[in-house]
Amino acid sequence: MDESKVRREAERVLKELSEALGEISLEETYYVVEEINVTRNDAEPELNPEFRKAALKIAPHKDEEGYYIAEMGSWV
Amino acid sequence: MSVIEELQSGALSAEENVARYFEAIEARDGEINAFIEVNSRAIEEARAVDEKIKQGRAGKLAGLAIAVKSNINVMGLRATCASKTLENYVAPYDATVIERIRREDGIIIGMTNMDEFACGSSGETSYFGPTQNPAAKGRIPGGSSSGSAAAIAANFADLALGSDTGGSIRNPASHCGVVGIKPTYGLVPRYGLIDLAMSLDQIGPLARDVYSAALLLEVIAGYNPKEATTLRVSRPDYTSKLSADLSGYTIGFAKEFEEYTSPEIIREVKHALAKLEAQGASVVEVELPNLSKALPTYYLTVFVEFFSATRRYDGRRYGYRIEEVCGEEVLRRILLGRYISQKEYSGKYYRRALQFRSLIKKEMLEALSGVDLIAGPTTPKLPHRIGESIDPLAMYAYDLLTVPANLAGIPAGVIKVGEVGEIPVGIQFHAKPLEEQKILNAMYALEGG
Amino acid sequence: MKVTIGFEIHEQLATKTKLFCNSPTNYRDAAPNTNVCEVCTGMPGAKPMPVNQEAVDAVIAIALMLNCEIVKEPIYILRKHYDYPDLPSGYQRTSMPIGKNGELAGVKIWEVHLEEDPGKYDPTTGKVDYNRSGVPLVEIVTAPDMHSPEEAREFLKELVKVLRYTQRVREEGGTMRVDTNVSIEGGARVEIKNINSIRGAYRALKFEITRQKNLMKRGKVVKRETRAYLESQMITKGMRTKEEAEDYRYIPDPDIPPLLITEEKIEEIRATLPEAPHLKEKRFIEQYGIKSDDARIIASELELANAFEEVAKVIPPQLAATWIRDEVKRVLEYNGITFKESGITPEHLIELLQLVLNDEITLKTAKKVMELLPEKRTSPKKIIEELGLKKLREDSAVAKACDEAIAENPKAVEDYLSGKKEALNFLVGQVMRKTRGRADPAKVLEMLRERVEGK
Repeated sequence: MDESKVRREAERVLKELSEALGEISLEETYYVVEEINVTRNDAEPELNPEFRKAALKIAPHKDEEGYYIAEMGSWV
Repeated sequence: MSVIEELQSGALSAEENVARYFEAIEARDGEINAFIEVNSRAIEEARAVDEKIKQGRAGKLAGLAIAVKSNINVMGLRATCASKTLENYVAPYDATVIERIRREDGIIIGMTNMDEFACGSSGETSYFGPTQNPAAKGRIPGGSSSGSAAAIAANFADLALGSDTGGSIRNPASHCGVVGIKPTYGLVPRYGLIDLAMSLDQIGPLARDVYSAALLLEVIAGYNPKEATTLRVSRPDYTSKLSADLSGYTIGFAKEFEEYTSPEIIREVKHALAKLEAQGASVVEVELPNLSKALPTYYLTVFVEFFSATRRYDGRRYGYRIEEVCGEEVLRRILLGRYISQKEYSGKYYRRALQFRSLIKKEMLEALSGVDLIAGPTTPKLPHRIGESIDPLAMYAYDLLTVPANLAGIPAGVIKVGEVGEIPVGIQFHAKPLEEQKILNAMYALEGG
Repeated sequence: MKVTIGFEIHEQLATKTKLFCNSPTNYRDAAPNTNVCEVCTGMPGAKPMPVNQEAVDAVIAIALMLNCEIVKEPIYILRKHYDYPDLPSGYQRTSMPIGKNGELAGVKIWEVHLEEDPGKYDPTTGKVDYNRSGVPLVEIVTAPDMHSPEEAREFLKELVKVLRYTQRVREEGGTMRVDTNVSIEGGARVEIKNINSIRGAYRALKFEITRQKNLMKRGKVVKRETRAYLESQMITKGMRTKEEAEDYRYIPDPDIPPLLITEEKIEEIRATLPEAPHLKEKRFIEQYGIKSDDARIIASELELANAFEEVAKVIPPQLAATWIRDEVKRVLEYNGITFKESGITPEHLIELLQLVLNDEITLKTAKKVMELLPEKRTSPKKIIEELGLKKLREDSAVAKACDEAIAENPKAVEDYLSGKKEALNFLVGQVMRKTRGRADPAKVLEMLRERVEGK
């Protein structure tokens, strides 16, 4: 992939979209569903016993104890 | 007799139904490329459903073969998003819509091709190669639910699930000549749908006829206690209320549609409007003066939300780090999202887009306030030839007429109304929030007429 | 040179399920990556479930205890983006302030937030465990109102006390995480991360202030940066400078509608709040007439304070207070447990002190019983019976022991009679030993004196 081409195009896309938009002063709409306080009760915990196995199966790096293995910290 | 009737009467078994689709896929999908993976357990599942049919306790979707877009989690199948990033991601859980389909004994036949992470409107950005348009040889099927629309058009499944963030169900439905519905935001659970832009995404049905689209929609729709942006509405019942009688319906048409759309598409849409009038509807003019602002509003919002959504693809728990393996369009959107979400620019781009979103939403709801439906074209132009080089902005322009529904959170549906040189053209209906029934009825009327 | 210190403190909230999913929060007992689901491991397509109401209420309660105003505008849950192995979604969800402008022990509380905990990552091995991922946290941001490591330590102790009082934070302890910022007049502000205890905060500040002072003495500039506290070496180490500071690209989480806290909600929670420790202390002095030092120690733990009030209904308050201050605290500290964890009940204390008041056991026995209470978890009477510690009432047994002691120690008797009065104490000790502490020492002294002097 030509990454510099992607970047160049991205700049042009942003410029054109931004110009097409123009200026405005209105409230921002973050949510289409205008709800507040959508909460749930702290009920009894649930666990799907199949999940762990399925999740670890697709993990690229893990150990026999069931830890995921990520990179080591750069400062240690 | 429809497939649904055949299955219910026992004239066709679920197993036979699934088997014949497998044969069709085997024979022709090499050419179409609608599927990324088929469900190897589908026959087994169909046999279990046949048992239930015999016992008279099968659900509404008993034995129907349903194709699923590859951005929806189906436990045990790969939800790749047609990206190398998730090439090996085998879903460890079911999306809520899948749970609901299974409860009604629908059978997942396979995972369909799509634009990578739903970033595209042509079906060409898939890591697994482009999908052909079964209804218009050599043309793009549209996107991003390209494989789902193609699977329906090619007769590879009874029904399909797509997702629509800015037209991704309606655009390929129009290009492939099938029925597609983008429901009201919050009506269909998103739990298990892999994000493009969280505040715009909706799952919806694709089908060959309005009745079966309505059937799938009523199965998947309704309040979901597992998510926070769900609407508190009970399960709808569209199929029993389906009616082609449009007397009393007022349908709006905006003159701005003509400004941005090829005349041959407008011609087909107007032809359909005349048919609707014949069914009892009256057609009036509505105004959408800020229609052209919808596209930049949409894309600036998508870039930021998509950037945020992709931060989890870090290659540590599954898959690969997205920036290292993704295609050009996905990378472009990530770079743009990363850039404009910086603290110093958020007022200039993202928050400004959210302000315009308020404007578009207000405009759409106001235009709808005096009418039952707004009808218009789905895409501004006909689908291009596969492989034709398209500039990113020209690609984005396909979405001009579909993004307003997502920005406003309103429902919209598409059905084929004609052809231009053997390329299907679909009409698009918009309605007020939760008025899917009106869209379905108008489409039903066109289908019968 | 004036030193300025501020804190950002994180503590886990006591809920059964995580903040955005129904996975259990008791990660300590679990094998790695077992108490997890698609939400708290950041699987593609997983969405946050609605916010855990209990966690929201906990943060409101804590904010009120810290004398904060509760924010009445919509409170968005923000995505704070950064890339780290313990963060499964690539962003952490953190609320806008729920409480503002509070105060505790003379330190201003700027903001109180609700957050989700990341998983656990060991940078030396790369191991990641997401059991902790998604556990709700309260984040408390203070003004830079402290001026020495000692002051900072006192504040943290006071804060921990108040947090425990609310009964909304996890009881196990050891879950607190602290970021601190420290600057010396004329130098830039340095942030220190990776502190896990009050002691750690004290040591990190001590080290950092010395480091900054030394730089200044040598005419060098203290630059604005973020440093990590390395617990094993008790030093701080540079992580990144201001130029490299991360832009978290905060956006309201599109999957989570905002919270809006009503006046009714605030009052509902206010009604459940315990009396603040410093107010309780004051009331104890006034109501029970106990010493202020005793009141402070008793009020240090809510359950202990409650127990005191129960005991003081039956036992003279100052006796109860002294006993709690000296004996109960001694036993708790020796075992390194809280009163709640000890299983000691007010009924146990009343029974024990009544035995002493009725002269049925000696003080020495009472102390011994006290030591056994956390382990035995049964009534003092049962313990006394079991171990045969009841005070010897028959003078004959004591008299016999006295006679024996005198007979066996002629030298001590001689010393006493020649004017060394303390020699009698030795004999008392001998008698106590023979009676296994069950005799009344005052009585023994009297009996010995009679016998020796009458000789």
